[in-house]
Amino acid sequence: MIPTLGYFSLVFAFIISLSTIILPFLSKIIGISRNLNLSIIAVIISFIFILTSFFSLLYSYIISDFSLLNVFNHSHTSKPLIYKIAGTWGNHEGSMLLLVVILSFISTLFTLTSNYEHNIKLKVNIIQSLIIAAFLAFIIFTSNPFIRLFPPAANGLGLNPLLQDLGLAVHPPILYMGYVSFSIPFSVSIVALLNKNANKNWGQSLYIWIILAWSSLTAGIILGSTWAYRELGWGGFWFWDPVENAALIPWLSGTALLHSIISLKKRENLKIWCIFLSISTFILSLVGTFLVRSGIVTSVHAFANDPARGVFILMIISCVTILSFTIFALRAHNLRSNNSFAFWSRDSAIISSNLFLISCCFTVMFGTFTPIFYELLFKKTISIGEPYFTTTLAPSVLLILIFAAIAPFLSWQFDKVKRIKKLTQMNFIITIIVSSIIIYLTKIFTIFSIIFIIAAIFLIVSTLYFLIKKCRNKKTIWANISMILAHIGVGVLILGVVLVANLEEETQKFLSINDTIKLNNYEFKLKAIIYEEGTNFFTRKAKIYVTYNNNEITTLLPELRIYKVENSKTNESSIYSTILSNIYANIGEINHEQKLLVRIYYKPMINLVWLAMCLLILSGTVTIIRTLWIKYAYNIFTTSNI
Amino acid sequence: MRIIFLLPLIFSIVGLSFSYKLLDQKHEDNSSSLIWLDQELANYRFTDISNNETIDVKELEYPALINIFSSWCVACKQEHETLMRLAQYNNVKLYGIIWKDAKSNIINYLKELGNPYHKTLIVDDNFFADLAIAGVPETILIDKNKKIIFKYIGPLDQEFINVIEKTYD
Repeated sequence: MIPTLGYFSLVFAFIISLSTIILPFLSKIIGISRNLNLSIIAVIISFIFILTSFFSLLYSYIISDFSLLNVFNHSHTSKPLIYKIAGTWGNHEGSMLLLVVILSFISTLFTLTSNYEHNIKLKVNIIQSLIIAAFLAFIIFTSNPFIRLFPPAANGLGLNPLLQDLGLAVHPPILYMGYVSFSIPFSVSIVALLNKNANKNWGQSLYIWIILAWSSLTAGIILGSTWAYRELGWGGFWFWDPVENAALIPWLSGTALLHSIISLKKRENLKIWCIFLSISTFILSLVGTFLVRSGIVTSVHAFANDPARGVFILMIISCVTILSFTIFALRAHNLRSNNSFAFWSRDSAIISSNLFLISCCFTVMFGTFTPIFYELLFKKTISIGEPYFTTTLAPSVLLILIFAAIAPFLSWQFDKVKRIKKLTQMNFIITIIVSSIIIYLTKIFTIFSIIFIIAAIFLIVSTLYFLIKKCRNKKTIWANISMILAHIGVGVLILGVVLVANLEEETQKFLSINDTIKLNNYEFKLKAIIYEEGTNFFTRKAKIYVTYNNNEITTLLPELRIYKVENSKTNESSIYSTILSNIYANIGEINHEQKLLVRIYYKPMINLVWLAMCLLILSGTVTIIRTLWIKYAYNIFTTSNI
Repeated sequence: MRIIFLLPLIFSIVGLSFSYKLLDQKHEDNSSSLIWLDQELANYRFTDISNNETIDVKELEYPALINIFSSWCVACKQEHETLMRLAQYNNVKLYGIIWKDAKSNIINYLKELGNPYHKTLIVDDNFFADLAIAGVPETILIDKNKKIIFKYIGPLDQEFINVIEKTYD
């Protein structure tokens, strides 16, 4: 009963979303404003239907309804409730449904709260509905989560144990939020092209939607990398895996968009560039989905390998890309900006940093897609790994750091070189002092690393200086706070990455009970191997005493879990963290001499990376809260006047 | 209309047509490929799953084909028939190595489909790391001097058997 309801809700939502396309033709018969109301109603009703459908799938998972093929394949009665719930989107069909739920939610949110005038809103509603309809068609025709299993099975097959983690419960919804939120800038830009109009107010109203999309994407990527750090047991948080890159590519172009839209809303510059970035960022988000779903790349993330799905998503991408870029080619010349600016100005700094961000974006794209295309053309496999990415990204990242440090001090339109020199002189001296201390303490002497440490410190120091010097009152602090947090975040991130890469140490050894390994003044003693049974797994735990210069500091308990139903293993690393470092332990197999493989990683300064990630998330959140606050206060103000 | 605004459209059409081609290729499942290696086989210890005895690299019989497989892998099932044919061919010994799978699963799997392997072995992760094995099925050819000649990624086919037969006749 409930699954049937879910299926029919999907079909209804599809019909309603598709039917919005007739609204423009209705406008000749009925008035424009009624059309808008109709489109708003269509968006809301399809959202309700999609939500109903999602909840019926969720319900089937919670009660473990094994008459559904999807539940049978991905769940099991012995699973804890939280993973039953998270299991709803831990598989291909469910995660696509979640994607549409979020897409529909963001469209509803847009139509109810955005500041745009009727004419724009109506067209955006139609475009959003068509995108929703495309995804619904994808679900209904190629990945229906409501396919029945007859006769119903007694129990399910379980969920990939790697995905049985709290990170999974939150990582995909937030990442998807980021991906699909970029549909709003996309639709709004297409409408701007159609209307041949993109002015300051247009940019101002779009700004918050870009912030929302960017923040969610950032948070999604960060949650994913912390999940990898805890769960995969490889001792790192970023592996340049194609699926990670697939999220990084739209993030880079989204970051570029985030900066150029400021130029548009302040000075009506870069209109065409903003529109181009809005369109490409959304397309790149779709490409990310395509990469994961089509089975073209295999990784921990790719859980479905059905070619028909790949073809369908590629068709959606083709339609979106060709239509939008055709409109772009036909209309872009109508949106020239005529504002001029000098070489030394914030405008030009934003443009330069944009170019470097886009070059990073291309570099990552090249590294991700080349192995795929190379295999296609030359029938040979090549792999592009971390060394490629670090060496090719380095120059752009370095320049981005420097521009991010200087740009806030520059004024719009034109500035004097002398003034900038004066402002940055002081920062530069402080930077050199601080970096020398860091280099002296850490004893990092490779030129490559030293340059990056200096650049990162320069960014942090300059941003702090900006905070002290320029933000004298509450208003200026609030206006700049998200920029300050984000720029410091980026500086701290790069500093953290460079320090960790230089200072980390690792070792691995087969140990019997009471054997020890040493790593950087720490001594690790394997005290016991414990076997236990969890709710749906068996576990082998190692009890490892950690001593530092003969003082006992902690006990680590890394585990190797064997999931009964799925018959596969996961590593649960044990992490001891202090302010300065993380000690990270995980265990492997027991060998023929009954010794246990123990791997220890010593990661100093890794907390800088986590701190940076917090700052980045915070910076987006602050802007969203502030905009909501202004909107709320503004409403009270205007209504009280009436 | 300036030509520069057409560039995104042109680039995306090129990219898209490539992607369609790519998907077609995936359809045909032409993902097998051969990588020539010239590498000494290092020292590993294997465990025989039938009697839990440990076997050294030296104790295997050469030339040997080492097939890395698991019970959950679809392409492994696809190549199983080929492996059964290879098993009848005595000049090269066929060994199976288990990849990320439980012993009980493998025993059932071989019971069900037939056992083509001279011996079915378990080995620790160093082996996979040294040979850069990232998935299953992969097959490695080792000659009499314990030198690794090549590894073959993807399911084996009749053509592969022909090459092996020609070489070792």
